[in-house]
Amino acid sequence: MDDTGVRALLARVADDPAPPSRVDIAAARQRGRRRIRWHRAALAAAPLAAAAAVALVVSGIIPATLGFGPGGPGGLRPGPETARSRFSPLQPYAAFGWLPAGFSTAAGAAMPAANQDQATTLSATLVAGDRATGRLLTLTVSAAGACQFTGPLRASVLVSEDPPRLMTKTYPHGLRCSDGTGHRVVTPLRAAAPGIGGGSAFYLPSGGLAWEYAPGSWASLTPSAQSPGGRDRLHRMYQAAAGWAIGPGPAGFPATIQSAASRALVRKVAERVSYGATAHIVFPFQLAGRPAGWTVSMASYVPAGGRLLGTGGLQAGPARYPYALYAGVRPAGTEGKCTINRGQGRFVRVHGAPATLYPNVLNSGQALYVCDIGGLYVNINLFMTDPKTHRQVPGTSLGALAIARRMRLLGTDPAAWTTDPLG
Amino acid sequence: MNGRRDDEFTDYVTERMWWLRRLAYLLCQDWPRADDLVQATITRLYTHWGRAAAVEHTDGYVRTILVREYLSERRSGWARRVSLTAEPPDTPSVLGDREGALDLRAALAGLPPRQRATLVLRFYCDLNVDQAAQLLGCSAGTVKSQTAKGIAALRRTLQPPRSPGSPEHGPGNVTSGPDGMEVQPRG
Repeated sequence: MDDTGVRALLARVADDPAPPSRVDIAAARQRGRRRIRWHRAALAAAPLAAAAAVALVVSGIIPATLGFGPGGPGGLRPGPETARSRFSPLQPYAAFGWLPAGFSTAAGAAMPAANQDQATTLSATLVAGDRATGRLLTLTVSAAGACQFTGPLRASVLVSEDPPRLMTKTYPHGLRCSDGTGHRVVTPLRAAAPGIGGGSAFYLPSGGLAWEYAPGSWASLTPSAQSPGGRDRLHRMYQAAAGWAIGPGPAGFPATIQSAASRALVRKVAERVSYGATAHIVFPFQLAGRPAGWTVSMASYVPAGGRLLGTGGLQAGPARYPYALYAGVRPAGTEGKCTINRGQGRFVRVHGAPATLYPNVLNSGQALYVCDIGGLYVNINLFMTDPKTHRQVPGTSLGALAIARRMRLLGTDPAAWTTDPLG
Repeated sequence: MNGRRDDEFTDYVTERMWWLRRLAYLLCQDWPRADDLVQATITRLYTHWGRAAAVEHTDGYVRTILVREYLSERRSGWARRVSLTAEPPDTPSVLGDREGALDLRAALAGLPPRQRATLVLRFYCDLNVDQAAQLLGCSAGTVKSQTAKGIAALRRTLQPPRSPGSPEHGPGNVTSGPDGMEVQPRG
């Protein structure tokens, strides 16, 4: 056998008859969006965890907290005297108090790649955006103790979001934050900024701000822009890399994030953030008979009509596997036409509606999809086996189908949805 | 804005699905696993779509994602301990030299993952040594040696030494299975 023989062999094997595809493009988009959201939640987009932090905390020079002065000037919102060490993922801890003209907290509905706010036990991430220009402001408030202020930090920073431009340099300080999903996010701090609410503040390389909203508790605000995509993508790449300059800015909004006007605007938003859990997220489903000890670890939601709609789904599990279950339920058709190929899966029924159950070889679990059941789309992903120990994750033996069948669906009217999705 | 991005992504993936599945199948030798690999690939592609669509050769970008996903999956515990059995295909079977086709598949499946990936890149994707080395993250010399070893292994499997009275594979021949296990053909 020679090169020609190998070519012939490969061509022949590649011509094997293929079974129907079970590749799900819509699911790839959905999961991809989720990854992008997490990426964005990493503040300067990417402290890129990969970028090794040198983190030399110089004893005596960098105290554990940087000191609080008297509260902010009148009209501004001071931070809480003490922050919580754990947040409820069902009740976001922070809210925007003021946004620039054109911006809305419900922008997500028209910006799928960044559309949902997320709440975990250690952080609350809120996105506000201007639909007309694709500009976004991402606010992340971390629980007390979730972030550590560090010394010099060498980091690669994503200057613009799409496509990214990486810039590697050493910054005088950094913040290492646990985001509540098992990841640690490293955010470089560029230079000291005037304090906010009596606490220390720093400029981020992206043009955003990080500040200590309560002793030992940090928040950050990052401006970014979404590329509209399309035929001028390459041109826009270079344009985006030069600053926050995609498309014409609305009146009063600066075109470049590094400008003094932009900094002032970001600062104004930061100074008016309010802290404390208020509204509950409402979900269009309730899981009956949850396994003992399971709690919600993360929820994704969109503010709309005065409510926080948990249409991005939630993750839950036992303490050791807090992300064992993803349950996403939203009005059918939200993400376009739903088609599900059987492929390796099998057809089943959930409350009379056709559904497909797949083994998920990537996480040794199961995935279940229902395109339309009473006007709702349902997706359940169950992570069933610990890849290291090969042990079954407690509470998952019943499988995704049983979970779906135990699910109480609450219809498409948010007025009837629940704040207690685990029942 | 993102609707447009989604449309572009969907159009591209839909158009290239046949190619992606074939390439994944050549690497995995198993349709369900190939579909999982494609699923993981296009999910990753979505997150990098801005960059992928901007590069001159999007197919090459996607191929890199797919091959690296395959190799990283093969390194994971899951791939080492789980063997999937494909369901009977829903499409009609193709009549032909079935035994010959099985031999070919067995020969290819018998190669270690990295060798198989090297051969697929060199002789199915028509990459030269340097291109394959760049994609695999190794030296050109490694690609050359992997290629030579892969071809030699195929030659051994497909052209066994003939013994008197045994012109074809005899029941005593032993070939290597997909995960390096020895497989005793039933004779």
